[in-house]
Formats: sequence, structure tokens, C-alpha cells
Amino acid sequence: MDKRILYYSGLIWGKLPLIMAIGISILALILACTDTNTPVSLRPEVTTRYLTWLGGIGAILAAVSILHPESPGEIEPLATVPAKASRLILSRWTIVLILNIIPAWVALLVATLLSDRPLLASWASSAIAYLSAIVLLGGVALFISAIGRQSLIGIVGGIFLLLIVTLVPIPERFQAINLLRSGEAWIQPNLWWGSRLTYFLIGIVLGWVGSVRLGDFDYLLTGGRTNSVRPNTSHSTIWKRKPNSFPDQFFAFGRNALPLGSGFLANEWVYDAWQVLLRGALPIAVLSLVIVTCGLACIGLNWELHLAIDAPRSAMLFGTIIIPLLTCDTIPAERRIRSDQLSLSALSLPAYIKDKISGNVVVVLIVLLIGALPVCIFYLLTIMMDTRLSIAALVMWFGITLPYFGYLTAVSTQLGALFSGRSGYAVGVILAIGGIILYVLAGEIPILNYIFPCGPAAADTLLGFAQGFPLERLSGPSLVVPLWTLALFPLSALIQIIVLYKVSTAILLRRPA
Amino acid sequence: MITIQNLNKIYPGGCHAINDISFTFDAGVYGLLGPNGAGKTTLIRLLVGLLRPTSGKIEIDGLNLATPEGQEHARRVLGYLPQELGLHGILTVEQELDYFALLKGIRSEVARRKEVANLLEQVGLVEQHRLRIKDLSGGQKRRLGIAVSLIGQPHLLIVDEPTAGLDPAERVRFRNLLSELGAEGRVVILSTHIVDDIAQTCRELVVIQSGSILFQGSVSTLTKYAQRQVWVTTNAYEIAGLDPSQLVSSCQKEDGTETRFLGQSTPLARSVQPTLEDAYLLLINDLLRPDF
Repeated sequence: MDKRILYYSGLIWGKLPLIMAIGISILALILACTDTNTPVSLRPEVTTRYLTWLGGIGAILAAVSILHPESPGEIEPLATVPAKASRLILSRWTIVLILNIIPAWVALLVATLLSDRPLLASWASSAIAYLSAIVLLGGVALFISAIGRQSLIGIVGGIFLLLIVTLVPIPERFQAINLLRSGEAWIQPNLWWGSRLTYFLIGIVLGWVGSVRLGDFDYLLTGGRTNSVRPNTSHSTIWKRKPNSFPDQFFAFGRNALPLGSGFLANEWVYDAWQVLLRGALPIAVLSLVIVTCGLACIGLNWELHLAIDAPRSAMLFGTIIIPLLTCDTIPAERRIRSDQLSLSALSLPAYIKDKISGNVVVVLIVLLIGALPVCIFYLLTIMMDTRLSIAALVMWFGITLPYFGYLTAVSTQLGALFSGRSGYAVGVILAIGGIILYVLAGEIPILNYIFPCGPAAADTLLGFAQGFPLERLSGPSLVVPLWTLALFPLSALIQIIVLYKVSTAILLRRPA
Repeated sequence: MITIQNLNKIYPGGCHAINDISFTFDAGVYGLLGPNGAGKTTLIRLLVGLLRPTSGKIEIDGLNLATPEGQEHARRVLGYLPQELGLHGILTVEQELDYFALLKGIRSEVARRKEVANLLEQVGLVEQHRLRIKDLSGGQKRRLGIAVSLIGQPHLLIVDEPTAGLDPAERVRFRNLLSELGAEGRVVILSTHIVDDIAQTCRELVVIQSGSILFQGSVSTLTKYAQRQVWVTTNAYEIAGLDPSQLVSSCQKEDGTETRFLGQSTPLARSVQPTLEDAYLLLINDLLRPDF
């Protein structure tokens, strides 16, 4: 590949991953350095874990941003150039991976220098662990977005993989295969090196297959010779199509965020929410599945039923990823499809955004209530003998998890509107997803816990009190805040939502839809 | 030269988008006309190799597009301006052309610079060559799109809805540019549903509807078929009795509303000279005389 082509690829597709990678690396370093519970010698290991988690999201977002299969405008210009499209895609993917990996390696080097471990060995193992994880996650996302011919499906698939490797418990003797760890490199070297090599190879193969698929224009534009995928119809003609069958709606997750209603024309957010609920079978199913999975993951391989109390905390971790995915493209998608109707609507932009937020929040809360029922019953049965745990579980679910998801929905909906107004639909939605994740993770920084007492910190606090503060049982890096700060959470959330609402409407009003 | 034989395209959902089409494009500017959803974009995507035909054959300069040699040849001799331009807003005009010249296989930097300078001159973007693409106007972006499609001096040029959204002055400028390119011995295929663009630019046209060819021939021939089938009347009773599919336009005049309509005459109507638009409407509404 010509070095000039690589230069232009870097110029076009590299800016976003590079900014994200630098930001992620700095954030991971801050998180590791401020985590006072971790001994200095383990800082590289902790930084690797944070970095892999955050950088993995960065790699997933970057991989699917190099070609949006759903956009003919990006595919067609490649039709009449002799350079093979699959090679171009592969070169773009290589560039975004390199731009992701280099800042992370620098951050890992800094973390190693700050520790008292052998520099080269410690740095090399964490750098290799990071490389294999990023290649795997990026490859999976690229592969899924190519096969599904939709960027969002790639993002969802990649993030699901990340969540699975985070939450699925691995027996102690097999910890070396954990994707997010590097510390076991010298304890079980064969298993560790073997698993890293396997992850790397799987990532490379999936990335290569995805690139070849992305070079098959007939497949991208029409579904090719397979019958399993929809014709790629432009949004201007969607209204002409027959309504999708129920199974099609059910598996439509990822194509759009929550299904769109049209209540904005009548200024009725209840109608909007109702439409979303009627058509949103899959979000309900996904969230229910997530909650049940979280419950089972908390119980663990030893089947310690009382640990089900951690389920809401794990659900919040999942929700931090899934809620932005479900909600952040609702306004941009509607503005894109219905810009004419919106411009003719008597509804003002601030009122429209307010309606959309209200509708989304109501839907998410209803979905959560329905989805949580089985697991609520399940874990209440398991801990009913312990009144303190039962009350804590109920308070945690209804007092913290649900309001946190509502807060997250409101923030994601607004960030989606804000970023897409600036950068166009696809890039805007990807930026919004990345933005909201970083925004929420910023709440994990201990010093910010007091001024930004977001859900996970509040949940940890309550869990700690319910269990008499066996802090070693608590997952996550949060500093547990004093109990009285729980009262600040709704206030802080409300202030944040109002400020964001004012800022986003003020900025959006300056630009055309 | 492009030769198409018994071309069919059936989408996975069963939609028969192109239905047994055969024709030949030689040097000159050709119009591809049809209503929305007629199959124009599908046909164009088949011609440029974006889609694979379900059956039938496309040959470019005698080489079958289904073979690797045919695809390789097509990518070298074909220029394509899609509906959505897919330009990279972050690059400058000059960088974008340089990038596509590289992708087109022009390795020498000197040759690329010369090519880029010529193209900028040809499409009138010399003064904007250092501007970022996101800062260009709609018309300038279209001109840059045509410059991108002309990289490597292709002798087959396919443009899909190139004048959509342009103001009248830009449209005229764009049409003249296409005429010049056609006069240089290229095959230029202009796909549009703006009849006026075809009338002003093309000698020959193909009208397609529901994936099938309705007409293939010269613009003047199609217009001639419409002779004595285009009428004007100001009589309110006659206007009220017309079928909506016959109506072309109504214009308020001093002596009442003058209505232009197609097909069967009425007693008080007078015949007028048909335009290409009249002929096209007669054709797609199945109103042409049986001898057509």
C-alpha cells in the first residue's frame, strides 16, 4: 500500500481514534494513580485493565467508523478505483488500531515507571495484553458490522463481547486466559501466551474477513446472494415499505435506537413513549436478559445465592453501555428522517427535545420495571431471610438503579442530539456513545464522586452499608462515598440534566436541522 | 463502448429491478430517464460493477464485466459520479483529487500534480484548491465530484442525478461541462429524472420504467412521436372532463385558465409543439398512439 494512501487514510480516519486514544490513556492513568486501594507494584496491571476496557470501546468505535456499510455515499466512490476495496478497508483498520495502541503503550510505560516492578518485563506483558485485546475487539466489531451491514450492530456486538469478558467469572486456575489481565503472564506463561496469541489471531482473521466482506459492494447494497438480510433502503423510501414482521422487529436491535414515534408533531410525549413501547420488544428482552445475566454472574460459579444482591450494581455497568446505545440516536435519526416535518412543526426545538427526553425516560423505566421482575423475585427469594439485605436490595433497585438509568437516558438523548447536530448522523452517534461512556466513567474518579455522585458510587455505598462494609467484596474502582451523599445524587442528576438541556438547546438552535 | 445483453437484476427480496434489458452505448452523451424507482440507479450500479447481475452480460470495450479482466479494465476506463458524493470534508480540494488519483493508480507525483491541475482548471475550481471540502458550496462540491470522476481521463463517464439541488446557473454550467466531455469522444451516461437536463444535453436517450426499456432512440424521435398529441384549451368544461393523467400544466391567462394536456384532443383545443417532457409523460402514462 502506497505510503501516501496511508497518510490520507490517517488524515481522514485517524483523527477521531487518536483523540479518543489519548483521552482514554490519560483517563486510565488517572484512574490507576488515584486508586489508593491498589499496591504500587500492581499499578501497571490495574492500568491495563482500565485501558483495555476503555481502549476496547475506542477500538470498537474506530473500527466501525472506517466505513459505514449502511451509507451508499461511502461505498460507491470505491467502485471505480483499481485499488482493491478490501485492501483499502484493511489499511484504514490497521491505521486506526495503530493510533489506538501507541498512546496506550505510552500510558502503560508511564504506569510501569510509577511502579516498582521490572520495567521491561512488566511493560512488555501489559503492552502485549493490550494489543491482543484491542485487535480482538476491533476485529469482532469490524466483522459484525460487515456481516450485519450496519455500524451500530458492530458496536453492539463488540461491546457485548467486552461485557461478557468482564462479567463472566473465570475459575482461579484459568485466570491467565482473562482478556483484561496481564499480571498472570509470569505465573502461567504457557496459558497466558497461548491465549494472547489466540486472541490476536482471531482478531486478525475476523478483521480480514470483515474487510473482504466490506469490499463486496453487491452484498453491502442489496444483501448479495444471502437471504438473511434486508435490502439497504434509503431513509427517504422507508415509509413506502411494508411494516416489518414481529420477528424482524424483534431482531432489529442495533439498526436504530429505540423505535421512533411521531408524538412530537402533536406535542404528546406519552404517545411517543407508547409507540416506542409497542414496537420495542427487543430492548425489553435485551434489558431483561442483561439483568438476569448480571444476577447469575454475581452468584458466580460457587452458586453463592446471597451475592445476587450485587446484581443491580452489575446491571448498572451493563446499562452504562446499553442505555446510550438505545437512546442516543433517537433525536438525530428523527431529525434526519423527518427534518421537513420538524421544520414545519409548530413545536419549538427545546420543547421537542424535552418531549423526546421525557418519552425515552418513561420507556426505559417501564422496560426496566418489566425486565427486572424475574430477577427481583429471584434475588428477593434468595436473601429474604436477611431483612437488612432485602431492604438494601429493594432500595438499591428502585432508589438507585432506576433513577440512574433515567438520568443516563436523559443525558444520552441530549448528547446524541448535540453531537449529531455538529458532526452529522453516523459520526455524531458514535461520538455521542463514546462521549457518554467517558462522561459516566469520569464519575468513577474518586475526587469526582463527591461532586458527581453518579449511580455506581451510590450503589457501592449502599451495598457497603447493607453488608457491613466488606469492601473487598465490592467490584469496581469507585471510592465509596459517605451515605449522606446519596441525597445529593438526585439533586446532582437534576442539575446536570438541566444544564445539559440548556446548553444543547442553545447550541442546536444556532444550527439548521 | 458499453454493450448490455439480456440484463436482469433480482434483489434478494424478489424485486425484479432490471428486466431483460439490452442496448449499446457508443460515443456521445446519453440520457437515462425514468420515474423514481424505475431502476436507473440499479442499472448504473450494475454498469459500474457495484452490483452483480442476476443474469445477462455487460461488456465494456468488448471485455465481460463478470470476469476479473473485465472488472480491472472497467475500473481503469470508467468514471462515476454517484448521487451521494462521498467526499471527505476534512481534506482540501487538492488533497481529495490527489487521494483519488492515487487510488486510480497514478503513482508518479509529477503526473498526479499535472492531472490535478488540469482537472481543477476543467471544472473551474482553481481558486478553491486549498479550501476544505466541507467549506465548499453545493455546486462546487458537485464540480469537485465530476473532477474526481474524471481522474485518469476515463472514456466512459456515468453520472447519477448530477444536477439535483443545484441553482439554475450551476445547472447550466454543469450541463455545458457534460456536453464538452461528450464532445471529446467519451461515452457519457446521464441518469436523471429532470427532463430538461436531457433535452439540453443529450442526443440519445433511454427511458426505463419498472426495470424495462420503454424507449431507446434520439431525443428528436421521441419528441416527434408526440406530434399532434399535445393540446391547449381554455374551455372550463373541457378541462373538467380531462383525466388527471392527461394534464401537464395550467397557467392563468387574460382570457382564463390555459391548460396544456396530452392524448386525445377535445373540440375546442388547439395543437401545440410538443416538448421532450410532453413526450416523456405520454410515454410513461401509456398515452402514445398505438403506432409508436
